Amino acid sequence: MKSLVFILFTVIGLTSFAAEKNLGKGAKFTDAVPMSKIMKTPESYVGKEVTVSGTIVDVCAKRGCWMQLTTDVGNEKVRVKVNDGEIVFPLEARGKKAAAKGEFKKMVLTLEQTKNHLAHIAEENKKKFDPASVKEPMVVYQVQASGAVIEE
Amino acid sequence: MVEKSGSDWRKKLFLLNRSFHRDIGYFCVGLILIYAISGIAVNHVDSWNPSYVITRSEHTLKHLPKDAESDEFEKALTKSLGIKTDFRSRVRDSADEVLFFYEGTRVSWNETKQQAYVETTEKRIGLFFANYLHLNKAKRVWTYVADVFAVLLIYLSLSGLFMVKGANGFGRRGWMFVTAGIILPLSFYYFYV
Repeated sequence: MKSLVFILFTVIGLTSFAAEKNLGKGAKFTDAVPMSKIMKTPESYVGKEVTVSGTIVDVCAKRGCWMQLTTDVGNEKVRVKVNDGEIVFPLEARGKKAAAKGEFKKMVLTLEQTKNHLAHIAEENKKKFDPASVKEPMVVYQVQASGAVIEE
Repeated sequence: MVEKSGSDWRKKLFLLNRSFHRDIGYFCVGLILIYAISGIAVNHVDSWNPSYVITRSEHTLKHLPKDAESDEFEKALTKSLGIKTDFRSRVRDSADEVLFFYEGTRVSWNETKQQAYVETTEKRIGLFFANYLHLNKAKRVWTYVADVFAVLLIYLSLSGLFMVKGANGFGRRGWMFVTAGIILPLSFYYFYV
């Protein structure tokens, strides 16, 4: 009985400590390509695997299905998306450094999609948003991550 | 003589099944509760956050140092807001907003409005852990624990069919409930999917 309890606690301990740092297939900070370099010729990266890194500014609060990282391009952020459940970015990781590896994707949004996209972001951040303020459609680049690493 | 031996064998199997069902049932109580409670919680993810309590507040703060990206400002902001947790990092978010990250707290400072927008996140006691396991955020070892649990559930459901004999047994009455339980998801699939 004692050994059963020991095994149970060991399993729980291992799972909770091991999971937070490397997510999915993992990633390396040293492989990160600066966004300034990517954005010089973004088309050449579309469809290819890249690693990006930065400070985690925001995380999907409910499902942990995306996070936003700072970049070296002014105040621009890069969005790192995962399929629901494949990787879960922890909300409490905001403010930590992270790197994510995955396919670099380009999404050309219509004006309506741009409004919806920005409205959704504003809603998640509980900020006011006026759809009429959006006059032009956006092109969104994001990394569809297969792995990530978060600095402890 | 042959008939008696066959009857003994069946009786032994029946008792063995009962014993296994009982003990595995005991073993699974904790996991069943975790998965069931978390199941209800995450089922309603669109209307609430099942893992975190997020508290938001706005504060207008005057007389803070001018340079929002200085250490001096960060210390004054932390003191003014009464934040006790460790400071983590600072990031400029836009032309007039700087983000400050603390353990469990994010502060968005608007330089123009001189306003701090504070967002505190706390894990829901118990539910965070239940969801963590249920949604298999841990991956690795827990994946196998969850697989074993699923196999045990399959065993419990099938062995349960042979637990009761007589008028309330599977052969005479139980099969109707089993059929109804199978029809429910199938009809849902037929009519809604």
